[in-house]
Amino acid sequence: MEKDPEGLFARLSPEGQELSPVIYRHLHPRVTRATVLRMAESRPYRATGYVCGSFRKPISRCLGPDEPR
Amino acid sequence: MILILSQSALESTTEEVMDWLEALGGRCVRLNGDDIEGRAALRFEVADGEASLGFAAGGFELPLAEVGAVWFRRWLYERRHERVDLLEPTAGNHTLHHELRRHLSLESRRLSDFIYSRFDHLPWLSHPRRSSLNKLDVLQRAARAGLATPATLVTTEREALRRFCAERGTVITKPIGEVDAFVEGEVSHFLFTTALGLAEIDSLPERFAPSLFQEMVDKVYELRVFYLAGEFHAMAIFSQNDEQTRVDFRQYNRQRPNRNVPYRLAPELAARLRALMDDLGLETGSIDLMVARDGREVFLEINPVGQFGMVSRPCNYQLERKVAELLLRKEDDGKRP
Repeated sequence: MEKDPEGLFARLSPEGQELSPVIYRHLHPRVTRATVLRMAESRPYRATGYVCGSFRKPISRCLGPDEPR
Repeated sequence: MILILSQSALESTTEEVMDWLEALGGRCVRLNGDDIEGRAALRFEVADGEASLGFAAGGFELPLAEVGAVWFRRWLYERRHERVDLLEPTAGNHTLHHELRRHLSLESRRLSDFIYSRFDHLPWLSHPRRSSLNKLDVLQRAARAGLATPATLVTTEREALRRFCAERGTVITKPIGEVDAFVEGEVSHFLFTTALGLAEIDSLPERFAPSLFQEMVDKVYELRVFYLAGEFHAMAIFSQNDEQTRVDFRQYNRQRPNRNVPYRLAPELAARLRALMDDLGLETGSIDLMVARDGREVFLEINPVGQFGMVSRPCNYQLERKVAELLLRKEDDGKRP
């Protein structure tokens, strides 16, 4: 069983630990960036969103950097 | 025109389907949940007995009057107020902060519910009212539909868990609700399914917060099944040969990925799953099962808005195209008197 080397559960207050389900004792830490960067695999216009299929205009931006055009 | 309700982040599936809609000659308009939180101009007016709803960005107004069908893909990955400090750092009032966030969440939910209701008269594929299932309720219904389900225990008592483990062997624990990750700067803490033996159970306090436990199925491989309008598209995942993916295949080994192959469901299993989907009122969803060493096909859970690219690509199912075709059929159906 993998322990949580970052110790998030250990950093909870006694009350926080008491209120947490058992799975919180076994959190699996991962580098955040790896998760976010998966979005950049999309094409640039995908990473910036659509307004509609024939008229592309970014109305929202994803968390990661856009791919170079 | 198809209205796609989605989210801007972590959602490549939406773009794949939009590409297919375009290629098939359809038109679509996308509204992300995060757009209504200040990224696009929102306007709802009631005046002189008339009500109007509008969204605009960059001077362009979304042509909502032309919408003929709606696809609820996803909506809000996270609300903006959930990520920011609402009080000045010096305020240091956690209770007040919590109350502010709770109120903003309620405001956001009320607005979202209203936006959905504006399209109630149209055909939908997936609906927000059915997008978040209760895992425990689904397990009950699955058992009633004749599906094999893992022995399950929700408890607050160490002794009850100890007895369960003594009877069933190694158990797993997972969230009662959603799988989540707690982001802390460069590190995210994931709630993956985790195996527990007696030693871990003995180290728990006598009483703990309500937690879900299940027997750990001795599986040969896992099945991820995408269900769409009565049809099943299944994939076997050989996650058992890799220690990293043995308990939860989502702990992906990117250097040496699991082998994924197309899989045909037995007719009896398909009939039971179809009965369950009908019972839940779901036209689509991603279903997780395991095939045990003793031959049982054990049902685990359903995600009504699960990702399907992971099934579509390895198995060459072209699910994105199938979703687009279904949406266009729904749009046509909506036009009929």
